[in-house]
Amino acid sequence: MNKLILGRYFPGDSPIHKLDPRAKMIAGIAFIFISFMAKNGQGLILLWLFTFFVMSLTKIGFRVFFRGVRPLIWLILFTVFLQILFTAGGIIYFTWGPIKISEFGLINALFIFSRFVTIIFVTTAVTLTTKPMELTDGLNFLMRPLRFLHVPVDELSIMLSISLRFIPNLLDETQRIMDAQKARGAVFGEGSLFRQMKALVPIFLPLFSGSLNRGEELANVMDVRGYRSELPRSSFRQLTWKIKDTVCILVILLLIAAFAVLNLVID
Amino acid sequence: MNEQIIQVKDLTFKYEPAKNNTLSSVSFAVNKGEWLSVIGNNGAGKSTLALLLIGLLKPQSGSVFVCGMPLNEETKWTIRRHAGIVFQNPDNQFIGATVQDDVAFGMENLNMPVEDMRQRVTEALELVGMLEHREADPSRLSGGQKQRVAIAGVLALHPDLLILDEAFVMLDPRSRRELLATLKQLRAEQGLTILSITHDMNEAAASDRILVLKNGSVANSGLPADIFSEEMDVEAPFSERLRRLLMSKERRTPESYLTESEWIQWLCK
Amino acid sequence: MQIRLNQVSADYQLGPVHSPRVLQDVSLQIAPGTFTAVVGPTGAGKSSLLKVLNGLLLPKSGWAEVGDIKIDSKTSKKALKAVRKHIGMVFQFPESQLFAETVEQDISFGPLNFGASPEAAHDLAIKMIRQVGLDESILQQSPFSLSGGQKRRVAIAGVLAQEPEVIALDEPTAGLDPSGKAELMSLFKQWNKCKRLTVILVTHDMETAARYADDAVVMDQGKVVYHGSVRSLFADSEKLNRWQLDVPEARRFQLAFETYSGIRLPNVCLTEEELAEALIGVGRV
Repeated sequence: MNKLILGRYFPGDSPIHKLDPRAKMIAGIAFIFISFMAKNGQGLILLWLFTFFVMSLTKIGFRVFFRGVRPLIWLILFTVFLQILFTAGGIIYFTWGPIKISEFGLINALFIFSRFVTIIFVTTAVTLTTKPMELTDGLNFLMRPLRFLHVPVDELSIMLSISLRFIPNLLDETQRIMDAQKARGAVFGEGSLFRQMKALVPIFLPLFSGSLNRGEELANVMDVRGYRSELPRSSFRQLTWKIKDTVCILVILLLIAAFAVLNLVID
Repeated sequence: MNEQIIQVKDLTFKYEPAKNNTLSSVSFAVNKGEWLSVIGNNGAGKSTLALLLIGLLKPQSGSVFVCGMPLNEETKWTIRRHAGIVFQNPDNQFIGATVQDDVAFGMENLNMPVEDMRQRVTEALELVGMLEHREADPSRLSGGQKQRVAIAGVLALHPDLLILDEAFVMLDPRSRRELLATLKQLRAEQGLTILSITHDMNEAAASDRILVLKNGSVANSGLPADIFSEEMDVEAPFSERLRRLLMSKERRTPESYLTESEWIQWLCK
Repeated sequence: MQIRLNQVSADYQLGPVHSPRVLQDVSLQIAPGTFTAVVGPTGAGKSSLLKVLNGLLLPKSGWAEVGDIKIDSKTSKKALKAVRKHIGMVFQFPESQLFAETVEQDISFGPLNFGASPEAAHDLAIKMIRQVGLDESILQQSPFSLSGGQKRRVAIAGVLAQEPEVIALDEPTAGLDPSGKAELMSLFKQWNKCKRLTVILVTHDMETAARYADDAVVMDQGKVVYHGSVRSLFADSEKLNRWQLDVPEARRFQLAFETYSGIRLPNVCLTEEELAEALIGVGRV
């Protein structure tokens, strides 16, 4: 649980930390599309260079980023091997029944691996440098167009921000209940799958009932403090778009242009 | 006559499947600027009373007037702008991601302009002595600090009335003392009306008047000194526990409740 | 059961954040049958000390000994389970650990985990529910239907049911009203006196420490800075001040009286009963 890097905030004052969350999120989403523009060797190199540039700007150790990839590593390797084993074309190095290791297979695998990992690195760079509440503010802004489709954007974002606020409490509570049941002789993570599942009941039941109580109290508090979803609310936290945010977006546009040029020239 | 901030008349309430009334025919009033402590054993109906006063529960019969307005579904939102409540669990009433966000929550709900909110957040945090922690997130605060932030959230709305529903009960003795000092200071500087439901007898002793609830009815009401002397089965502050103990040993004791320094002077007479 | 800590250092590893050492070179011996209060400012390492005793936090260096079982960084899960059988832990707000369908099942959880037969667990449930001052009829109810005070007692009965020789309490009376608090603490005191149950109590409340404990351990910044009798701790105002510990009310009254009157009471008073006797002794009441 504590090994999960995605969604964790690393305090700092790097240039990336100081960007407006809206700029970071737009750039992060744009990068996902950009990664699909890398279609040749030069593009691949540019993709990696940009990724490492962003990572080093955050002033957070690369080790942290590698740990962020770890939970997904099997999924990545699985996809990579599928590509290697089942793509045909170019020089064939090895054949065994339906399985062929071919030039195209290897190249495809390399591209897929690179896209996967650079996307994870860049999005991790965004989440590591942005406070959860800034993320919700940014999300609220990005979802604004959905209001016209009658999506309750403001309610969703207040729900999200309260949920994020209570994650540390929930983790503490889980740890506390786990310790308490261990002290009563419970053993976790041993025996058959069924036994392991059964051992979790004494953790999840109290956690669930505790969360229900908490939710009820929280609803009361919001009610007496005058929260009414049907009325307009002002916002204490204000996002301010600065020159460096514009620069960030320009850099992304530049990157798109660079890929477009590369693809044109090399084709 | 003093202006009355709260008037409760013949308030009766029952949780539905239960047979007995949790509160039966409770009547009392709180004057402007008064600090009233409501005490009573577990199950005496204290917390139910708090929920009724702020409109989270509806009484079977009787009426509640807050700031001159009858409390009902239409007026409850207006009343909540004039009367704030702090509950017992410090964690479950912290809504904002940081101290200042939490204080601002009530004002955001009133759609207040940002500049006003900033000013009021600063003022309110200053009053409870939490200004230096304005950027802190709740995981870095003690229970007592969280309760002071909750009080700041109420103060920011410039209320006439602060209701405390066992706001001290989850705190350790030191945090209680600090919170009590904050309350005394707020009372002195702001002339705030306080209704506090409490088990903490040091807090009750510091208030102007005590209301004793027993089995859902008002059993007594009066000055702390009188209540501690008259209601011998009510928990009391240390000096009174000492007096009661000596009385049971049939020793010479002061006639009635004395504060600690009065006691010591009496001993040296 | 003898408890020893020998130069124990420990810390938590929370993801990427490495907490500073929560325990530093702690050496401590707690004799069987004693009632020890562990006090000190927030974050001094009091709760971590309890966790080390129970094998929930393993020493980075040094070792702890519970009876003849040694706990260090390499102790096996099986040995830890044996330790946990001997040391009952009551965490803060223990009612939050209740989970079973009936009170009886919840109380039996510990004994069954530690290898008791279902019949023995059943008998223990009946015995323990009485010990915590609740009626047997409650055993078939759902723990979630009980009042807050009852839930806490059920949780404590569940810990007692594993028949520990040591009971470690972390703020067991937090959130209770004064009478509920006094009732619960008297129960612990009674088990300590009559059954020679070793009690280790972590608390912020000096009144409780002064009234119920015999010995005190003061912790400050991960170290044990005092281990001795409760009375000599509270007699020393300079020490209390240094470690930011409150003076118990009776003692505060005594000091104020002594300063005002110039009369010295014969002994250090920790409770109103002792103060009353002392005042009678000097002929003031």
